[in-house]
Amino acid sequence: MRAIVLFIAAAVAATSAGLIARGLSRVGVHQGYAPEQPIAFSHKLHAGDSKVPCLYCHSSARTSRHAGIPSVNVCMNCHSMLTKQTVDIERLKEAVQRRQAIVWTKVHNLPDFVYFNHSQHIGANVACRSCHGAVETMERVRQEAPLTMGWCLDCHRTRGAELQRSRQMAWAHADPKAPLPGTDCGKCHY
Amino acid sequence: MNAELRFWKSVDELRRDADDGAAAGRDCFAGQRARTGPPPAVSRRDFLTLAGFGLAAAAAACSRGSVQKAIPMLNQPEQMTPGVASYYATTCGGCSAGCALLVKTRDGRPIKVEGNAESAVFGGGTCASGQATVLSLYDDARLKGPLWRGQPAAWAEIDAHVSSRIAAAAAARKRVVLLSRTILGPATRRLVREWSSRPGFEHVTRDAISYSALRDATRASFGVDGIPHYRFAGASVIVGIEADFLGAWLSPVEFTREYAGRRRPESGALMSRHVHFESGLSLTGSNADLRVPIAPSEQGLVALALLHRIARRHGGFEVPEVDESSLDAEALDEAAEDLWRARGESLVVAGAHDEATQTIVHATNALLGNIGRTVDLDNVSLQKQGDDAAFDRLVEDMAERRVDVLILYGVNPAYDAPDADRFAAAMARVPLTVSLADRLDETAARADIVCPDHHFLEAWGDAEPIARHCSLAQPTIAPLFDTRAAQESLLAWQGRTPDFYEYLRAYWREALFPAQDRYDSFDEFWDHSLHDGVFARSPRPSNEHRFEGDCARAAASVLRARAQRAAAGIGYELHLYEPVGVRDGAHANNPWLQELPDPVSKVTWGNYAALAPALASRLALADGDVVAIEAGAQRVELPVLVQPGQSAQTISVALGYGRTRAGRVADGVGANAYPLAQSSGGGRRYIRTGVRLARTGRRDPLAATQTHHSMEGREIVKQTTLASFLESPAGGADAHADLPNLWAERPRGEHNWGMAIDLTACTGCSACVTACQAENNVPVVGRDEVRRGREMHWIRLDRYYTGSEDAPETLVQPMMCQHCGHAPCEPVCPVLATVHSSDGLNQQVYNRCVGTRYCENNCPYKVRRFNWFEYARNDRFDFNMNSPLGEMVLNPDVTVRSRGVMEKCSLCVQRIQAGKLEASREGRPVADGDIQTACQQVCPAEAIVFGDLADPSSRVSRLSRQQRRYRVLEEVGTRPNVTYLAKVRNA
Repeated sequence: MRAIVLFIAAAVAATSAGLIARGLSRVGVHQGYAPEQPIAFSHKLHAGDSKVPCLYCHSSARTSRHAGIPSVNVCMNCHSMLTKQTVDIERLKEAVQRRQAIVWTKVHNLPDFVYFNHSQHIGANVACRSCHGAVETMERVRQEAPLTMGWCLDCHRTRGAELQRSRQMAWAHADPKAPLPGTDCGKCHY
Repeated sequence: MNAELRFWKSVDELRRDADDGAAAGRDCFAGQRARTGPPPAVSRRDFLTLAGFGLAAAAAACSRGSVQKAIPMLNQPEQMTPGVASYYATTCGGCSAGCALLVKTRDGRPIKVEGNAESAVFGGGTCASGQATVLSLYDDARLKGPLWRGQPAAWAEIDAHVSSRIAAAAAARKRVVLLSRTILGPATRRLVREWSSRPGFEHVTRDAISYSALRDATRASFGVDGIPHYRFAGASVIVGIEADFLGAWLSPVEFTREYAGRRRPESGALMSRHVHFESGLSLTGSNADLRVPIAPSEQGLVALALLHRIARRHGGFEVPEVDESSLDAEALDEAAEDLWRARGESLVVAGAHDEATQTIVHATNALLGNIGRTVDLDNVSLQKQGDDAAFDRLVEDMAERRVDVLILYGVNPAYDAPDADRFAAAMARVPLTVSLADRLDETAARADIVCPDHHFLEAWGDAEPIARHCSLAQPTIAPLFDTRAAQESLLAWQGRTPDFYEYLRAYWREALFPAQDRYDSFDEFWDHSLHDGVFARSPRPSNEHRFEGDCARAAASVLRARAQRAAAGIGYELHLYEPVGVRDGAHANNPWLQELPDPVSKVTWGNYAALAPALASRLALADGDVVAIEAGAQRVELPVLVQPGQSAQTISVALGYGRTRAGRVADGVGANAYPLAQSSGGGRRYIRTGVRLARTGRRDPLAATQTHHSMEGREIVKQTTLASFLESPAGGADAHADLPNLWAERPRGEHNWGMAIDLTACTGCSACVTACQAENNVPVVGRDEVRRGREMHWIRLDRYYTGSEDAPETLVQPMMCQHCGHAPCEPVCPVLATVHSSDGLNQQVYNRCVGTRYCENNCPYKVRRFNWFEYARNDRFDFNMNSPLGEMVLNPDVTVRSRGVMEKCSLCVQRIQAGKLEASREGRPVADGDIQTACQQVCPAEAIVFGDLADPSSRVSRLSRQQRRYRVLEEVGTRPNVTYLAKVRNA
């Protein structure tokens, strides 16, 4: 009898410990986050059907750490000429008329103590969809990847490793046993 | 290397060591540490219980962070990419030296100031004050708009009123006076000339710290209007007489660059020799090969004694005999001998505010053949144009109600005039006073109307600090507040279009474009000049300048003053000086500069009365005892600082403190010493005799950063003489190379970042300290925390004394994280927050750090700084990080650390990453010189070199192999990546 009670108690304890651990490790992980935006911009329509390249709108990803959200003048490059009217295009034009910037909700958020540089990854030919998923199929942008440090390191240790080795050998003749700069703590935390 | 030199950091240490060795283990903070407060109300056990429940609750409830917004621009200009910096060339307005700058802006706002390497005069360095000007842009004390009798008013209203009053005054032939600081810009000078060309209009220039005597002497001696342009690069022998040319005198960035350029021991006999005669121990004096303490009243006498010796060798020049009994004849003989041997390549400079002394120095330089060589009278310095006599006449006129309208531009006489009350009273008698000040300062508070000027980073302008060297100033941000360029105010009140940009272009088109032949169209010329920032016209050719001053009269004046002093007998002498940092007081509200340790005394947050150790001991005064200094009818109370090397009967006091209306950072810090500069005959004097000193019984402990660590008998700074160095260059290098190695060698990575610091070039100017603070978001902690030793500077300049306490030799060493190969801090971190990177850096990962502080304990260099409090957004530390405006200066590429986290020099890892990224984007390896740390970039002396030690051909590798090399505390086995090059002085 006592054994059964003990067993049940132990099982409950173990389960709750497991749940707490899972909860704790999920703190700050927002996979699946798909907030509502002030303008219901559809990537499926623009990037998917119309095949607008990612870097056309998110051009700063090429040169800056921020990929950013395009400023309204980028939208108006096309929409000043297109005649289609929807509620959202109306909101866009209103923003121009009222000279008010649009307040988007950021979907992919890294904590302040992480430094992530888009241009570095674009320069290494990492495709946008590797981290952001198939955005061209999304009506509303959704965070596909967990964006945890472990997830970043998985790629750095495999694909990143290949790229770094080739560069190290070409330019600096570093020792093959040396750790990869891409996995240094200070690469992203400074 | 001289191992027998005994180094000591403070007088206490010197005396303690003299008593016995038992003091070695004494707490270095005895007497300075404050109590930390009452014991906490919650006990440890309760705390842990609450923490445990709290964590569980948080884990259960919390699954989502706060919602973040992203707001792109509405219409983004092509040139601006969020996250990418833009650089604009401009000219510094921090003081009137007018150094050329390159300002880094992010997201439309300036965050860092660098020197403009295109400038042949100033090069790529700046001074600490210049570095801090980026923060003064974001000063909450700045006025947000114009004021009329203390109330906000509209520009149109004010302009209508002022224009009509000025027009009325002009019609009635009444006086309209513009009182301004030195105006460096030729376009603005023309505007002011046009302004004052009308009858009754006048322009008076006033510098807060006067150089009038030097101007008058130059005019009388050579018929040249201006201050000579001193060329230290051409000087093999320099004799300074109380001139802090490396610190705050005239043009310190330029002088440091040229001076340090000649202090290269590897050039052998070409290394310059510097003898300095002064009363207080200044930054410049601390660098001299030979420093001779003199009384301030002996400045003229020293100059005369030197002239006498030079004249004797030159022949044909009569100089009266002087009573040299109080002077060091041997030092004078030596100095004269050196000067004569290097004639034509020598330089004598004096900081005396005395026309007679300056005339004698001009004569000396003339006899030495230095005119046209190290003393350029053809392309003069325009950096100080103040006219004391004109200002005194103006105050007289104001008091007599002979001035109808007074416009104040860049001046604050109600604070810095010796008789500020008299000025304020006279100002009250002017019917209309208009101030163009940027804040409601001591003078603006008494003005009827305040029309705040832009900060120089928001404004158009130009500068000609040295004749024929022009530079432009352009806005790096749209004006933050409803301010207006001073020039536009003047244009508006003349009834002209208030568009200074057009005026500036018109001036450059008419006056400067024709003076060059490189560009065919003005627009091309303008665009290139704006891009480069500087435009150097061909200099005026050297003309013959004969010395025509009245040496006999000057000598008589000097001897007369000396006789008067001797007759007065009793009392001390007072020496007033301009400090590095807050300077003349304009920067008092800048927290970075208030917390910048004085290069010599290492005291922050306030001024003090520096006394010689013998004097202090005789009067039984210690550091922090408050004394009252009385000179004539003026009295100032200050805490004492026992200063080794201070001249025996002299008290040195810094100006620039004791402000009352500069802002919440400055007000009440230190005491205003300007009243002590009063002169009964008008004008100003920075030397007083017959000064009395009285104990007040109060104490005000100094907030000094110097009493941290004793040297414990280790050779932390190595010094040698030039002779020894040339004889056996590799004196102490690799003394500990055979230490056993406990750790396995790390596999060699792609890079190995390191640094080489030349102690002979480093003057101790502390620009690197402020540059690092600006670049890395280092917080300001305030006076109380500095007293507890908690200042946060990542780089510090350790200052050591050697020799006797009355005439010590001073050594300075920049100290930052040494990025040790075998770092003692790394193995002791329980959470691996500090680890070694693959490229040689000791990394600090802020988010892992839990604040055990074991690493700080283990660091032999004590370079780790702990965040004892939340310094950002905390009312207790109400500095730039506690205001939305002040936060704009933060560097977005560097984390702002929170409480409980350790931080230290990262070798500007954000710049390293940016450099590597740039290279990788261009498909090439990182080139030497691509990456410069903030401290390296700012150093006017180029004493710090950063680079890749894995590349044997890089500059840092070559310097690290030089014979003067050594590493600090290498006997401990830390294998630092920072190499120092020993200090070499002439014997």
